[in-house]
Amino acid sequence: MSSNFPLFLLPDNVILSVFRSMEAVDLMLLSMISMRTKEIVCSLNLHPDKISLDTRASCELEIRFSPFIIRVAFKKFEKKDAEREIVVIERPEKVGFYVSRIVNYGLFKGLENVNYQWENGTFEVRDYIDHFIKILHHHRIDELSVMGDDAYPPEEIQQLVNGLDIRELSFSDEGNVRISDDGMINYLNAIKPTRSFYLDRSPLFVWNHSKMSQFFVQNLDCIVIANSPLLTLDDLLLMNISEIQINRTRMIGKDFNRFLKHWIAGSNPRLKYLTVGDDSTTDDREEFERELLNGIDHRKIPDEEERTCIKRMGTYEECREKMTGGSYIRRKDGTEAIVHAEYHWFHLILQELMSI
Amino acid sequence: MTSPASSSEVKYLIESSEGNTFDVSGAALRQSNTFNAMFLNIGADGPIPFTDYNEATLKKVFEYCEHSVNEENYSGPKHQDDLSKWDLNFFNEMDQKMFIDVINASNFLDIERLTSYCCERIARMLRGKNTQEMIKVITLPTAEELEAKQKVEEKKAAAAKKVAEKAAETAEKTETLEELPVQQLVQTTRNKLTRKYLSFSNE
Repeated sequence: MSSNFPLFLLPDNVILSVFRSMEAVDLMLLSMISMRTKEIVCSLNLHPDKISLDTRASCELEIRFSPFIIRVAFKKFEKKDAEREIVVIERPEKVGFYVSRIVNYGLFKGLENVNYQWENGTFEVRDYIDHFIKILHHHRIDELSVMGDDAYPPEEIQQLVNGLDIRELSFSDEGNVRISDDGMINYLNAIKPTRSFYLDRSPLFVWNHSKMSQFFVQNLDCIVIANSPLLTLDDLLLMNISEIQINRTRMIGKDFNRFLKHWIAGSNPRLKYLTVGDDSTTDDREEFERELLNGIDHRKIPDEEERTCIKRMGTYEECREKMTGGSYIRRKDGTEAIVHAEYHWFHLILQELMSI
Repeated sequence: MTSPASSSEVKYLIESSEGNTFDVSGAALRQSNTFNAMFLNIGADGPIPFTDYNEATLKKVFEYCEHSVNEENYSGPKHQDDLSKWDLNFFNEMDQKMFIDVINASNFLDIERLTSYCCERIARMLRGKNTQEMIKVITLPTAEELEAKQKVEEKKAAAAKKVAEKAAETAEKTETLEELPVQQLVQTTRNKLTRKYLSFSNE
């Protein structure tokens, strides 16, 4: 048969059936060739698991669409060996479309990779983002990752994502350069996530309370901070966030006891899950629990009773965490929670997140 | 002449665009939902006019239907990799023109299995290609071609109407069946076909 095929001269229902027979990756590519193909792909009601944007050297859009992980890389290279031209983020010269398919080999899973690349025409990065968001009916960026060695200043990234719903802003020091404190504040001011922050491994991060408090009081769903040695009880009480995870602080059992008393009285009303890495001097769990619950009415849970906590419920990051023991406490409004302590960790989890 | 009783031995006469007629078994023809909607219960008086398609195309389509008579009931699209050797030969021996004619005829006759396999085969032509390669493969149509396509769709709608009218005539002549249900069936069929093809033309 000839290599050319007049697909669009077939009846419309046949064209639709052809599109329905194609895989998501082919459909995404096909959607870019004409308005007609875009409309048809749109009508197929595809829904990816997650779309994230990474603004490293080449700005990348990652689309997770089980079993595919698709990275759309927007590049602006003169030549392979030439020094990278960092000018504007808007219009890439080349677009890489890297597809990894997760393949189940029985005992283990592997990846099969296929790469496509093309010279870009007049499309801008934002056009591509808007295009994929539209055809995949996913009107948000689930995660925007920024790094210390980003090729683009925060203002330019802000312009790129202007008007988009950025669910999670994630800072990472995976690059060569750590984000400075001022740089982080600039990003936080430029890009406002609507659901969560993820501040990954930032050991040089120094809290500037007056500047950070404006971000803590937002009605976010989740905040994860890897290392925050200067975080205080006041900072914690300020956080109007549902799920809080702070991996390392210098707080001790006495601080958590005060926090619990505030919580019982009505502070942090949106809080559902709190886990904080502490700096206690004691390794004895029972002694730590006594210190935590000093002066608080509580009911002990048998150590053999295992419970599962569901975190990030309803999101692509939903996960389960098992724990045993702990104690029930009750807030003045009747809300019940479990306080749980283990080696250098303090947890406060609302009963509504738990299942036996 | 055919009888309304639907058994595999019953043969129906099919008329092609050239005016030629040939036999097709009832079992093969029953894979066509269009046929089922129009003639299965009331029978056909004289050849069934599928005059929008040539003899070679119709024979090819019914060759497929005859072959798949004993296959299990159709349950959604089958992956092209699962096709039998016979199926592969069936598709491979067609040139592009014949393939397109077969898709069109299969679509008109509403033979789900064949249409679905044809669509899967086209989808495979695009698999693993980048955007530029895809543009080369599917040759985006010009405005004139789209206009011509619309005219063809309108013509097919008219042909469908004609076939439905023939079914209606046959129904009127059939004395053994109760009058009211047949009238309803014919009217329903006519409306259904007219709606289907008018909707294609409008698109």
